[in-house]
Amino acid sequence: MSSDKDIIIPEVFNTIGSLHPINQMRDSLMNLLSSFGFKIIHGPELETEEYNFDMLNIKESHPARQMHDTFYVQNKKNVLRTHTSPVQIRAMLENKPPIAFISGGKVYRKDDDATHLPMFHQVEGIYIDDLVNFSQLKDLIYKIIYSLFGEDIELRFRPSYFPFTEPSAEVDILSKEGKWLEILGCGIVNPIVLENCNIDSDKFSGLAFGLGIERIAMLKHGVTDIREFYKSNLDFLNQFK
Amino acid sequence: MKISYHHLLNLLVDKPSIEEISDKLFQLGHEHEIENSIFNMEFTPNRGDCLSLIGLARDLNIFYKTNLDLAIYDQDIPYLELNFINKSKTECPKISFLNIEIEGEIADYKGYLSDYFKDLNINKNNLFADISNYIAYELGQPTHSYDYSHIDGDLTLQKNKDDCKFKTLLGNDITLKSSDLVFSNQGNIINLAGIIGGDDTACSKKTVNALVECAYFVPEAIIGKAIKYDIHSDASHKFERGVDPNCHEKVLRRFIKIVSDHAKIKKLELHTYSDSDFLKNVKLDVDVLKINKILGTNISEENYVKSLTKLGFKISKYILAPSYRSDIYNQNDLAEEIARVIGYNNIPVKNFNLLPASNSSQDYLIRSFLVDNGFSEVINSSFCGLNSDNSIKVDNPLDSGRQYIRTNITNSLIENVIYNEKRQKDSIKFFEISDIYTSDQSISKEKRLAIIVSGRKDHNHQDFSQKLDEKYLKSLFKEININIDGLVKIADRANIDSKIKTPIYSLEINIKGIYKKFEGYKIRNNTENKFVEYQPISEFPSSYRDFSFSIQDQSQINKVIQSLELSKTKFLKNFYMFDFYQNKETKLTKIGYRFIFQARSKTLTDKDIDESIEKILAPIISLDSVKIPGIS
Repeated sequence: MSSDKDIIIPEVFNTIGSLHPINQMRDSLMNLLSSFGFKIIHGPELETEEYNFDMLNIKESHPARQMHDTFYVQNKKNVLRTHTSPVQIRAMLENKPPIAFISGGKVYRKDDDATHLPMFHQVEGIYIDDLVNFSQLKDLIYKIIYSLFGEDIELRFRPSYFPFTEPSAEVDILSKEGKWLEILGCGIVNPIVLENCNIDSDKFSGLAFGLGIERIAMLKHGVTDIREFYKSNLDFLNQFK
Repeated sequence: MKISYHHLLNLLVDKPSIEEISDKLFQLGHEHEIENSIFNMEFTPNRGDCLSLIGLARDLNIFYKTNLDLAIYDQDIPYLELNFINKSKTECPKISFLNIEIEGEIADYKGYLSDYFKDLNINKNNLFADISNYIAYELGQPTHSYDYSHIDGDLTLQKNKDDCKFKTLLGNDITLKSSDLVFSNQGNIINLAGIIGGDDTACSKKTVNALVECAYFVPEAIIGKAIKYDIHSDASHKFERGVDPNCHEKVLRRFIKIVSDHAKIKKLELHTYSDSDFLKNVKLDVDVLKINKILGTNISEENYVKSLTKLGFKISKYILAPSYRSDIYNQNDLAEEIARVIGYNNIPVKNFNLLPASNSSQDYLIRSFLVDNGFSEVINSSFCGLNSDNSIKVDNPLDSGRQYIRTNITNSLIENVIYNEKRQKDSIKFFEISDIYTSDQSISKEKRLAIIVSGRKDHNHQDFSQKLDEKYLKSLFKEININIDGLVKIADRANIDSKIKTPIYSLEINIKGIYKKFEGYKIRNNTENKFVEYQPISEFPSSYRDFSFSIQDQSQINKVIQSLELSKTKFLKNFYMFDFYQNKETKLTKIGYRFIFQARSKTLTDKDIDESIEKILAPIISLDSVKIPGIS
């Protein structure tokens, strides 16, 4: 409130906008992972099957390649990327180890319900060097989870299956209600993938991880229906100022 | 897949509790839920070998003493003269047929068979089909039993040449497509290979002579077929994930044993076709150092050998993977086996440490500038229903409204404006940054910024009466020396299904061209994620009330404003000063406030709102020299 001798002029309050909560979460993750040594890279959302599947050891017979799971475009010439992993393939082809990259962005799968959307967001990271092992991967995952949810959070590693990592793991956190919630996937880069990218798998090894941004944002903000993020409702968006 | 704890226990000598087994299954990576002593298993797609009682017990052998020797028929079986023509050896490199004929009465099902149907709540059908189902549950190998009296002449396995009708044994009529793998007899299709048999040759309660087919289909030949015909088939689920190509004899001898437990066998004949070159066992070096290098562990060679042996690997000079483990290719696969045995949570943690990398996002300054100026960032679907000249079409869209990749952001933003207008929003400013893909000769990608405005400039006494328009957008961009002359567009309201006629102004530009203009921009508001707890949105309508306060005594102005700014009632959602006027001569000040009310669970009544208003205005009414026209 400001005033002079004759007149009182109330302060003008301008509305401040908001960054989208998914992009806020992406930014937070990118900042965090950059501080851990990962350099940000980008790649296209329209990909070849070669980069989206073949190079990642996802064989022709894998269910993910079926028309009911993947969006194909231009008479099956290309796909809408089903993960951000092809960005890492491009990075491995263009750079020699040691490398540490993260990529984040939109990915597409043929789903549509309260917990799955045909378009969602991922952040994925890869680190290739000599002597990279599962013990280091665990340390990195602990650091990521603790940064996101605090050091009191309880987490567990579970064996899982991804064609591009071996061994593969999924990581769960224990919710306040005592329920284990899947939070990310990770693993040691499958040597087949390294060889596909002309990296000597006898000399180098790598770790990789991927997180669904919506999943993390839903847990952090208590959003129960993923579709809320994409209604562009001002009442929703204004809550994330 | 459902597996009974009690059935599993028959194979485990140690008889562990259901909770103990559950913990071990999680350690092995086998997710499940337990309901009434039934494990509802969800195996990863690479572990087709676990899709059976025996398969799961084999994995649990790492922790428990097991007894996996099932009773089988151990006599010689005569050769079956069958005119079988395999025209699809690539898709089916190994296949066996058992001719089994019974006579006399069929006995009541023995405990193990009866419990299977009872415990898993499965309907019985006929002896041969029931044993097929049980064998698939017990050993993981699908078999199909034909009524042999309905088969005459050649039996051929080949890819279907033309589309044709096929009636499944469940009675469903489907149209098979050409190139589907099928069994046919005298030109009639009698089985959609690996998925479901046909009605014509299905066994019934009257069947006394069955031809039992036991095949190895390569997963690629089966994948996607069941879903294509909307068939839920246990056989296809197993074949898609890979079955054991070396199990046929054991499976069929077990089949005979179970038949013999329930009926007198009159005749037995067996025919096996196998392409001996198709299966080569995976051979890997014994290399515990490599395993420790992958895992970061210090496992002894003794433990390494012991663990793999318990999992069925044969270890001599080399490591031979068991034939049912189609997922084993390299040392990393073996490392995963060892990691599962140790338990992922027991693998030590070793320091991951890299120097921080730089992180400079060029978009961030632009996004922050727009947020500072009241814009909300949105993210819209990349799909749309409208075709442009250079649209990219999705081959397999979810629906016609999402059959193209959008060629602009603005159309999405217009939809966002309409959505919010319908929710009584009168000041809307949105932006979105997205890659846009188009196709002429080749695919082009362009990163664009689109912004859209409509309605009041802002919710404050200075901007309430001003409109968001082209002039506003020009002045906004002038602040950062960007000329947008000729770029602002007005949406055509004629094509929009809305009674609201407020103009909508938009702008869509290539973002690369403006990055430099934002260099050095000082962000006014911290936009870092504050992790707020989200409050569910009400879909009930909001109502507003405007009040004008006439204040004669200037000393009361602050009191009025402070009192109103502290307003807090049950249904009050938002409020702001939309008018401020002072008459220099009379010293009369007029302040206008808008109060917006909304409930989470109902449409508010006038009474609800009046009660809230009363509470908000009570402290003002008591002030001297303050009048509220219409109230005091």
